[in-house]
Amino acid sequence: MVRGMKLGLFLPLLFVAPLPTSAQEELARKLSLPELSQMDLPRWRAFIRPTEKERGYAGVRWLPDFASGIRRSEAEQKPLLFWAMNGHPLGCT
Amino acid sequence: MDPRVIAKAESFVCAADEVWRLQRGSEADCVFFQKAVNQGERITDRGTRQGTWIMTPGGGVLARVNSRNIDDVLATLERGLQAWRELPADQKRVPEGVKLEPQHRWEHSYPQGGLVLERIVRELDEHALSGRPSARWNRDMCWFSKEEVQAMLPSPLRPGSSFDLSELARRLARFHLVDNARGQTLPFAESELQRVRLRAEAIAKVGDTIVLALEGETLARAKGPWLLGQNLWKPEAELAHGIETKLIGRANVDGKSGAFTDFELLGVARRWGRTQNNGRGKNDEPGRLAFHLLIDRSGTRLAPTFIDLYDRPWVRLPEIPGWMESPAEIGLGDD
Repeated sequence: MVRGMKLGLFLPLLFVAPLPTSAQEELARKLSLPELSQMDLPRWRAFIRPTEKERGYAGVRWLPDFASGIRRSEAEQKPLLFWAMNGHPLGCT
Repeated sequence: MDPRVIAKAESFVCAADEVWRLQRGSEADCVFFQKAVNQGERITDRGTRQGTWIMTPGGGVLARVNSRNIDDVLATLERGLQAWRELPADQKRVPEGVKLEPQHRWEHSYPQGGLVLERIVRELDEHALSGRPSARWNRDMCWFSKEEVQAMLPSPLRPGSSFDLSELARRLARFHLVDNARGQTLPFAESELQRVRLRAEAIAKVGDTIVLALEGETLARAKGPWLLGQNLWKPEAELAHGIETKLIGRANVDGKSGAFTDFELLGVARRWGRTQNNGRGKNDEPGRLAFHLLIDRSGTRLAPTFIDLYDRPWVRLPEIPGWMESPAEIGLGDD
């Protein structure tokens, strides 16, 4: 009884183990993709490109590099607000 | 971004930059940054320096936060402003003789007169246009030099002619049609491109402008050892992944100058597998992505993510590769 219960618990785990990647690729090939047409380009453009809200960071006038920021900070006599990320914060991450 | 942060930012000079280079590199701006954030010393550890810093031209740090909590960020900005007000005038100047400008940045290779595209990737579900856009998206830039553009377009270009844009498609397939909707990913090696095709057909002439219709497909598959050598991107583990795209688009070419005046390319893709840092966790189940590439008219000089692997003569390389581990390892002094 106990042995049977253990099997019942573990068998499902065996069945959900990750598939080899070749199998993942085969699964991917079963995913349908939408038909594309030149007529639909404007709809896709609006769908994919970030909204104004998603580009909210653009509401700040960012200089694109640290050295320019330090130089401008000195010139304008304002502190530097420096946004630092792995991958450039304005994109390209 | 929160409107309160945007309003508060008016009190500062704002700059954004990639921090891995700054905290590891040996260029003048890197050394300045490292000494500022590390009590006057070069950084030799691998701890992250990501976040929002309030800094001075004198090389001081007034405040720092690494949080997405708006209240924390606002409090940090206020603390930084207060500290700035109390700062002696001499610390609001770059010290005499201190160098700041780097010898090399990838932006220095900006392809003036070439083709610059802004690429957006967004996750896509089975409902496609009928569904809601996913909140998972990312941005990158794609660069082609003026000479490369001239080489890819036939001359003269007349309505009715068709030609391959295979070199353009290969760069896109290797470096830009990639799964980084959730986080940093890896490029593909040339030999990992299984299928690349982008056909252009000149369908109309309007004044001096030739209108092109674009159509194509790509298939890239990485499985097994890393094939791109020693560089910043070399992963710690072999993780199989791939992507298959269908492409359609349009472009305008100025018949006189032979330059693209407009360019738009749409891609829908099946992706599978994962890479080390692309936010898929241990989930390598397949999914869909949508790509949109549009000519960039903003003049933004942000460099493409994988420009260090473009391997083109117009891309100037740094004297010291960015993948070098630390200043100590490359034997540089503290100057």
